[in-house]
Amino acid sequence: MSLQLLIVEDDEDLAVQLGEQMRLFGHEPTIAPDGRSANLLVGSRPFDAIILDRILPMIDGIALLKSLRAHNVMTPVIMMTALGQSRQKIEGLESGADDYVVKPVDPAELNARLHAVTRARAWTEQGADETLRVGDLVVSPTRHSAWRDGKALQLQKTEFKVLVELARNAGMPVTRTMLLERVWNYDFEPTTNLVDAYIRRLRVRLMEFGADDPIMTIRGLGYMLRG
Amino acid sequence: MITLRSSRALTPAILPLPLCAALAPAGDLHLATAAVAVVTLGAAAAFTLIVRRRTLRQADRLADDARNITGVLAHELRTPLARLRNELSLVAHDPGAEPVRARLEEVQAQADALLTLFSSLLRIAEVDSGVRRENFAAIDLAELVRDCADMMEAAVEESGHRLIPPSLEPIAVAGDRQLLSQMVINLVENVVRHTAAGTEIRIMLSGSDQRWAKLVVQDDGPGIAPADRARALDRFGRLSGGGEKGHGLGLPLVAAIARLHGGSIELGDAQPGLKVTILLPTP
Repeated sequence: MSLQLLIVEDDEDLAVQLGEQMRLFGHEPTIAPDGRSANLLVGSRPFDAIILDRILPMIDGIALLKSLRAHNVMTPVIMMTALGQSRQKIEGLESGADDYVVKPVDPAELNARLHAVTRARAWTEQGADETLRVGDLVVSPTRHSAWRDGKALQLQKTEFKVLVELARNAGMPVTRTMLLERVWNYDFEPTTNLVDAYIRRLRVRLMEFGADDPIMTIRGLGYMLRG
Repeated sequence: MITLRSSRALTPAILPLPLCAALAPAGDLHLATAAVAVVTLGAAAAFTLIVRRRTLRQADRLADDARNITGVLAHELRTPLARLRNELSLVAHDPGAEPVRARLEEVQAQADALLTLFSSLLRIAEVDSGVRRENFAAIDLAELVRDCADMMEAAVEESGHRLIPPSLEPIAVAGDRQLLSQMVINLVENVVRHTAAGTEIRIMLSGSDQRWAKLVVQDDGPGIAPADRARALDRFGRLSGGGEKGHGLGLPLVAAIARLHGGSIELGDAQPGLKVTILLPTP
């Protein structure tokens, strides 16, 4: 899925590199070096998502975001910052950001998050509890149940949460970091492969009735439920 | 048993008045404390104490400086390293890079490992800075430890270790949920990384008295020799033997988290195995 991206970043080298990287993922980036030009660009044409540096000349990233939301610009925003402290993260999210990444960001991780935030808008419109259908899998967040080819799956609470996250992003990679944040609510990465171990367990449950493995491993990044 | 404690916690030194007067403006002592002291110890003993205290303070400052420099370096080097890593990623995507793509990916993996190391150092620096105290909230520690054990269970089982269902008394602490979770997970990961398959891991939580929550993570592996325990709490203090190695930052981070919460860490003998005891004050 190609996205029209607005990259708001005052560090020119970083903005250009990020733009090149996003092009490799098939997106069309536009760069704004400060909050004022970003504001003008947002007013002149639609974007699918905005990558917004937190600290900018003239208009700060937080102030720009608050102003956009106040003017009912609901474009998904991923806030970027050099600071990984949870206080900044909370401030960014409370100001209306959809997600938050710490610089330097891995472009593949950023790409996965861009897809996730644009997808998330769809759930918000449908309702986050909507039953999810992916191939022969049916996942009901409200009933805490899942079926494959009509047969009920026996999943533990955490395995179910992992499946919901993968199903919500079916066809798109979900990174290990995203799973740690969304399933376990952790802001750190354990050194052992905790996520991988859970995915292996989930795979066994999903293939209990002899069907193919629906989870694809994206090397060095995470996992994707085949859509 | 090794108890990690700052030398600043030592009883204030007791000094002759002229020395007190000289040192008080520099902030080394409280003049009043010192004045009382001379009477008790006499000049010679007081002088010995001041030298010791100043040496400890200087050692503390040097250690603080070293910690700060490490954090600053990690922060400053992380961005250019990440740019280099991302530039490599761009080059690797170029069709002309096909013959060397595998090697480029290897170099990228090495850069990723360095970035992970820097992240760990920055995490310790963040904890040491005290800024996370702003996130402190009332936490049901038993529930948090249970969640961490659930999180670890699949990976522990895969590694061939055995995680015994935790024995948890209900107890609340004031703390940072993320950091306390990381602390518990690090302790279990430490066992998985440094002991052989088949090792049992036990987690126990009790309110040892009204004032402290006592968290014990112990195993029946080879343990750490008493002489090596202090080094195990030092950054990069990797010990010989014990299976797959990390960067030697896991236990130092646990110690930093315990300190941030006003607590302590002790490495002891589980007879056989390592017994790590964390004490955290209750509200």
